[in-house]
Amino acid sequence: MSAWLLPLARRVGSLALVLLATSFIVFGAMYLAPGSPESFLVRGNSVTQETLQAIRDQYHLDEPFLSQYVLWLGGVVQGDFGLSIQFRQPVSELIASRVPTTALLVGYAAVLILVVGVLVGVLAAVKRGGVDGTAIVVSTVAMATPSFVVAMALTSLFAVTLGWFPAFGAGEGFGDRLWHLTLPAVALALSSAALVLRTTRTSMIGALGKEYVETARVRGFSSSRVVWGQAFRGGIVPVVTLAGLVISGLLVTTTIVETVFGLNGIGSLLVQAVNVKDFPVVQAVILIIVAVFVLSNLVVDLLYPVLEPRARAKGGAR
Amino acid sequence: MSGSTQMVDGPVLAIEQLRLDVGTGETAVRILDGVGLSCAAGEIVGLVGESGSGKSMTLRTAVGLAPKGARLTGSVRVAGRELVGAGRREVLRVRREVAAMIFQDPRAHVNPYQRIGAFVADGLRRTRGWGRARAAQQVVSLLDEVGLPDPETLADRYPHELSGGMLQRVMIASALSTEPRLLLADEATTALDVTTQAEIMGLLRRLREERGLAIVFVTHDLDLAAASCDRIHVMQSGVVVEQGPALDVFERPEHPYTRKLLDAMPSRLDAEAPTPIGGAA
Ligand SMILES: Nc1ncnc2c1ncn2[C@@H]1O[C@H](COP(=O)(O)OP(=O)(O)OP(=O)(O)O)[C@@H](O)[C@H]1O
Ligand SMILES: [Mg+2]
Repeated sequence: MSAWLLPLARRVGSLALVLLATSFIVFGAMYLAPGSPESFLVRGNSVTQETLQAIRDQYHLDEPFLSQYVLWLGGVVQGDFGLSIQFRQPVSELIASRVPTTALLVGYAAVLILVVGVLVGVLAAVKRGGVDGTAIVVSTVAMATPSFVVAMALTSLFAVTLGWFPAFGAGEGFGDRLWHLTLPAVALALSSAALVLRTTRTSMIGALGKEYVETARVRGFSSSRVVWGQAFRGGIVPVVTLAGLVISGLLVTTTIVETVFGLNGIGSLLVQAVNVKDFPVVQAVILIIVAVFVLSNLVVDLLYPVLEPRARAKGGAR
Repeated sequence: MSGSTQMVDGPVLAIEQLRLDVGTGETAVRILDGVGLSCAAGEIVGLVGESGSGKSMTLRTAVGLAPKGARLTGSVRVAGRELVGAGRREVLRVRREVAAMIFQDPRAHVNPYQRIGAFVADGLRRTRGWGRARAAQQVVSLLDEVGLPDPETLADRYPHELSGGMLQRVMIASALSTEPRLLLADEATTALDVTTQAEIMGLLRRLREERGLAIVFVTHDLDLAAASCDRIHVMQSGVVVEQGPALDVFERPEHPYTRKLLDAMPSRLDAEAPTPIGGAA
């Protein structure tokens, strides 16, 4: 038990360290970036020197860098990310209102990535020939195409020309939301699905050539039992590892996709916030993205011994 | 020859005039050329010959495992079912009901992701439609039959926790699960140490006795073949050059290739005066 707990504690500790380092870097970057937050606030309005000073005081802008950082971090550990400069609203509320759209979008894309990537990857590995060749060509193109290009191509074809899907907005109610999020999810998923497909294909070709798969054939298992019951179990291991990275990486790509499709998620929030130097928001969103990334890595690492019996603690009593 | 008048007429495995070609045109290669081999119930037939002589290929045709694009002529009958030119259904039936195969490297041939119990049970669950509990019970008695200690605990272990010899017994148990009549053993003892090799050989002989299995045993080791098999077939480049009762072949080889094989055996070299290095031709 403790042989299991100790590495976990170590992982959680390093997670905290990564987040701390990230917060410092992001804070530093915002500090060094040109332009000041209050200049956004006063743009277009005539404000008194006192108002300006009040803003500077509220965000501790006259303090030295390190104490600004410490003050901010003190709030963050208590769940207080401060006030959005742009919206004059607590950052945590702002983010909470934006998370459902992004979560649904990323979840939708993740399902597409796994279902399409794994199914077509296995199919290509099993059938080879024409299916395989087509899958390779299509996935190569998909991997090389930036998501905003995919987004615009999808919009012009399926939204503008054919009118099957809406081009903008997140919709109301679950069904309508899914309908609205279909094109964005496809745009978000495409290159990752291609990567998962290729990894699945390579891994399954290897697995299908394994001696123990031959054993299953000699035992008279049906083709589908051989593929899904024997080869798949080992073939999927590298895909699971990759999927953790790829799916958490969607949070980065979603900034572009949400902006192109006019979705109110945390990705588009980040883009808006960066544009106006709304640094409490930028900080919070980036911290969340990094936290999700590191956490999903942790999950994948913990999953690995479950998926790979040979990797289970050697000598550890079970 | 089987002179028996039982329900099963003739040998369990009967290979006649088997020819196997791969490649086309310039690259065409004849891998087996007129191979004949038979094995009756309760008989152990040894198949010996140097590397690349076609032993594995011959064995694999008996479970429909010829390489892709191979052209077969002649006849391979397993319990009366013709496999040359047979469709997938017929091949599956033979694999499920009549023949089983074990290999040289059990560590590679046992699924590393399955617990031993699940691996052995799969034969019954996937080809007989047995339920989990019923199969698990049968697995325990199979593991016991092949001489593995503490079968209940063993069924919960993973392959990497077992030695090569134990894994070969697991392979044999899984092969036996569907009650085959023919067991094909492709160098099943080659990778094992001498003691384990003798134990596995003893197990195979016992199974032949108790279950009336027909066993075809491929090996490089003529000594082992002579000691354990009833009859021996000697192969050279895709042809069976000599066959007969094990001791006859071993003690009075007729074909020069068999003599050459025998002379190359370490045990024989030891027995005779050592040949000086670079000595006379
Ligand atoms: N998949 C294949 N396609 C084409 N030729 C093959 C294939 N597998 C084996 N061969 C060739 O068939 C011949 C016989 O091979 P086989 O494996 O039956 O030999 P073997 O007697 O079992 O040898 P070993 O003792 O090394 O196992 C060899 O010349 C080999 O190169
Ligand atoms: Mg061989």
